[in-house]
Amino acid sequence: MEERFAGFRELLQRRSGSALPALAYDRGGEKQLLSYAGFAGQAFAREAQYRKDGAGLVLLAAETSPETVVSLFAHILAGQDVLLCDPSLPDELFLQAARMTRAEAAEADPELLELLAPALARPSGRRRGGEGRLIFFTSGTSARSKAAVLTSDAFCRSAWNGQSMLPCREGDVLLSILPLAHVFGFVCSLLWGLGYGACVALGRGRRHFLDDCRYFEPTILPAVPALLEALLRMDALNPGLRTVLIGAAPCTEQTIRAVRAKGISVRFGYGLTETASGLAISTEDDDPFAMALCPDTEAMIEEGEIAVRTPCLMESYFGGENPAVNGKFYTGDLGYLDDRGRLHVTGRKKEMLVLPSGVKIFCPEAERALERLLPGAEAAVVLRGGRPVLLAAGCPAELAEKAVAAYNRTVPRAEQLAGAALHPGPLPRTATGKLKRWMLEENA
Amino acid sequence: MKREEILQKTIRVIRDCVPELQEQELSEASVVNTDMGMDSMNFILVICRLEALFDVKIPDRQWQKLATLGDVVDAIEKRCRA
Repeated sequence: MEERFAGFRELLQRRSGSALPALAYDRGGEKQLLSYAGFAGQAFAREAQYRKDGAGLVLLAAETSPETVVSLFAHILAGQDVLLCDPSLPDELFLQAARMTRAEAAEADPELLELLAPALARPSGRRRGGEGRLIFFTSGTSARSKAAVLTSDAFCRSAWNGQSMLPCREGDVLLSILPLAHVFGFVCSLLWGLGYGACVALGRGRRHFLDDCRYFEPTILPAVPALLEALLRMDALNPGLRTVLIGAAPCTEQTIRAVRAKGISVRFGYGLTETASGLAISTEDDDPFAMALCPDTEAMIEEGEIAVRTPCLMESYFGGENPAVNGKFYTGDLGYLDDRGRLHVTGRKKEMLVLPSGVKIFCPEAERALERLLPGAEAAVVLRGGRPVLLAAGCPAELAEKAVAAYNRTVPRAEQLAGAALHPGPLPRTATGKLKRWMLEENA
Repeated sequence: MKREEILQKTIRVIRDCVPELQEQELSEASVVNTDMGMDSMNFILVICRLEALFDVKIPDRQWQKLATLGDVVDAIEKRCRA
């Protein structure tokens, strides 16, 4: 039975006497190590410092580094809530995130701090009695999406779930190159490794995506499909790599086969921001997409939709909205359980496009923005060849193209539209005016 | 280095990193996003190659603001001059 922790303090305390490396990182071209004892010591020392602060909610938008990880743990230990943001977000989204969550302090580079300063609320001194909570945006850290509030206990349970299905050990090196501001990245490329004694190698940033495997020589690599495909294409996977854990978006069977052909085990994880990631993980049998449920997860299919009960579930969305019904959370994903009880995800019920990069686009929101740019016309966002495009009705092609260009300037690169197409006649709608998306996909 | 030279070298790097664009006509007005068959991962590869080629560093937060091929050339040209 794998060890389970009730929160970050317990996790750190259990490992605080270990001289084994918790973090590997690069400093000035030299590989450095920070032991578990050193990591815990720094986190507890920083906790004492943060307890003197008045901030109840801290926006953390620093690049991944040992200092950032220590800081993150210390804020939680000190009872401060932490909103993790990807530091490369557009300025406007940062400001929205800060205002929406009423962040009272921020940790980021000086340029970002200057930008955020006017958006921060006055320190309230409302720290929590126990450990602080983590706040993640549900789709690509966009401030327009919902913010899920999760406890450190939920995250530790999620890491335990993962460990029960796919163990990592002392001696393993887990390469962390996914953004920690995404739940999959946070749990699978940081917390899982730290919880179970692996050395977490902190990637050197986007410029080193392709050579970090050779530099840190990981045994485990959590990745999103687009990243894995790039690593494969550039032959950048290191010989000692034994496991790849894929998450955040669907992966093709071709990619899975190509990685397995290198003697590397490929596992596919399923989870949501609201459930602190880990709900199910694929096994290594014949069907690479059949996933076994994690030990703490109960799943049921209701009218085709996957619903789950899990102790990893968020407390609520920021602001208090709690969509769970009797502890049951409806995922918005379509799927089924096979005769061996394995979960298969077949699509998305809600109006969300999931791109190969793992980035999600909430269609109604994008469509509202596009329709504001196309007065009198109709707009739908659909996937064409795996890429999001505008399907417009009631306007000339030139205007639709211009609307796409204008829209793209307002969203992160990964969410930008690939182009525009015209729909012949009005967009198909239900009697209540909702778009019939399945018809649009066919017409696109 | 002249702007036109930067543009041509940039186009060569893009074509090299994104084989789907070998045949496509590219100009300063070309939008540097999925429109060009360039997903976010390819975009990262292109920028990294360009930084190495021109020996410049475009700050990460600036990447977000590069909308067209002309913007990319601007960013490189500005840093080559600095």
